[in-house]
Amino acid sequence: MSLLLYETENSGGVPFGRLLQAEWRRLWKRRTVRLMALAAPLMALVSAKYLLSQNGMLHPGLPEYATAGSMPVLALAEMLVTAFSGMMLVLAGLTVTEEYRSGQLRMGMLRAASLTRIMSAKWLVCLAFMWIQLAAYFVCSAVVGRIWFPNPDTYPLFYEAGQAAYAEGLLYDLGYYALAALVLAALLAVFFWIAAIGRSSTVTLGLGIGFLLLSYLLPTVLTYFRPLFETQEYVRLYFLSLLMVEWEGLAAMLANLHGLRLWNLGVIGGYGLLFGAMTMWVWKRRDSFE
Amino acid sequence: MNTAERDTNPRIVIPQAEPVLVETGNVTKKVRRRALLQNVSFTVERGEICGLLGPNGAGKTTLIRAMTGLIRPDSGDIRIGGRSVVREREAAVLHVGAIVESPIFFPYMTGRDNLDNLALLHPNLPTRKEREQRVREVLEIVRMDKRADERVKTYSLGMKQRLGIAQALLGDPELLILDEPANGLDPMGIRELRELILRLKHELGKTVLVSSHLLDELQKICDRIVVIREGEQVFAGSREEMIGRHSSLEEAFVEMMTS
Ligand SMILES: Nc1ncnc2c1ncn2[C@@H]1O[C@H](COP(=O)(O)OP(=O)(O)O)[C@@H](O)[C@H]1O
Ligand SMILES: [Mg+2]
Repeated sequence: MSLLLYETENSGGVPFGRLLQAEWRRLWKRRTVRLMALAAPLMALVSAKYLLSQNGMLHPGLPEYATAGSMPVLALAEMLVTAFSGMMLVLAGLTVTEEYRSGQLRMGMLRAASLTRIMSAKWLVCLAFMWIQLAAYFVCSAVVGRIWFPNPDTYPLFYEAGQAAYAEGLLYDLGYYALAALVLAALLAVFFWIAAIGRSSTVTLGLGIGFLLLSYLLPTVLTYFRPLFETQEYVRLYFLSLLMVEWEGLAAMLANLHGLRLWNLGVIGGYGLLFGAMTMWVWKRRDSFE
Repeated sequence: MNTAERDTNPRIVIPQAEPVLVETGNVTKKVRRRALLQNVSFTVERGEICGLLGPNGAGKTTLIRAMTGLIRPDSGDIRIGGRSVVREREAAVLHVGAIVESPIFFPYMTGRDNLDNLALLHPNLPTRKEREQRVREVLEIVRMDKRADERVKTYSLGMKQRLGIAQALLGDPELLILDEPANGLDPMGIRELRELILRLKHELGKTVLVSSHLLDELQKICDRIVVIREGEQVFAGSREEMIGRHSSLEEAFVEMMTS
């Protein structure tokens, strides 16, 4: 009986690990992806230049004033909503929309049994790529911070979360990057849904940018209605936008401002589950209909 | 009652001696009430080359999609090696290699890299060494070893077709399904393809199902022919049966298409 079940599971099915391996290797054969992999040090340098010029206009006692310890966080805040989102959108457009619509996946489908499995593997592989990028960016910005930025005994954290010395600061940075890793996973789920319904990679790119713009515009419009809400209600509505969570919400989570830690976690998880389920539904339907 | 018990029966291993490899019974597929396939029933025996003949839009690709489990027929069954593609797809298509519609590869990768990547998805090629070895073998069979390390985007249509056949051979399947492999080839290319398919049969003992909208391409190599028109099977049988009372295969085909 157990032997039979064992055979059922292995009667020709490709192990999921092999699928991951195949997707991972193919990802690295793309020139775009290889170029993207070089982006971390470049982005760190660009951020450093920007933050140094900002420092010239800021009082050293402010949390926005970049120091060796706060550089990785300050350098990530802007890059998350721009470069990292952009990279994920390109990955989704290339590996999902283009490969599916052009028929390039057909030979894999003959072997891997279902689109649902292929797409799950793709999501994990793209996420792994982005997490490695994130780790590389952490290292690069920490190094650049140490070389070019002042390193005071202590410096203030965001939202009055206290003063930190360099070592504590790095721990704080790690926490920030861990939360960023979660948001990236949720945003990648959103982009994978868009890529599943997009008819071409250009459409996917357009829809993705549209999603990001909307995530920026809606909270911005909300600021005009600020007087209508209690503070708690207001910040919660504001952070329903994944983009705002990326931009300002991570530091707020670490300071647990207005109980946002749990709220924002819920928002991140909500996006991930909702869009993950919608994406799976699209592929399940295509698996059984076409 | 429980699935394990219900599944026991079809799992009995059919001995190699069983002559019938492919058996389709009353396959029907409808899309928005239009029948793309209607009651298609035929068999293919081991070691045969079976031609699937029909004009453009007849439903050849649709049938091949159903045979490889890419779509599910509304009714009817397809058995390959005794296993139902509809109910136990993975086991049934394990011994099938196919080109469906056209051989589309990842253009930014070399031919060899494309095959290496697909080989990863074969459970019977567990180690890297075995995969590389097998890829070399199939490239040699289709005579693509010289150009294997160039990117696929530089390949001609004929080379892509041959790489497509190489890809289908990766898992050393009993059955090869080739969807219009002669499409877009020049006469020399078509001739080479014909020789390749005959080699697959005679030297490697493969069973081949090959589709075409041109009778010419098929009549020289096929042992058996299935003709479909607008989703309906109008003939299934040996070459000789098809010729029947007509003076030639062509005449028989023309009559089928016009009657
Ligand atoms: N997914 C689909 N939905 C609706 N109609 C389809 C679909 N796929 C194919 N068809 C139609 O089914 C018919 C048979 O197509 P196909 O199997 O590709 O023919 P062939 O391969 O013989 O040229 C065509 O009329 C085609 O337009
Ligand atoms: Mg076709």
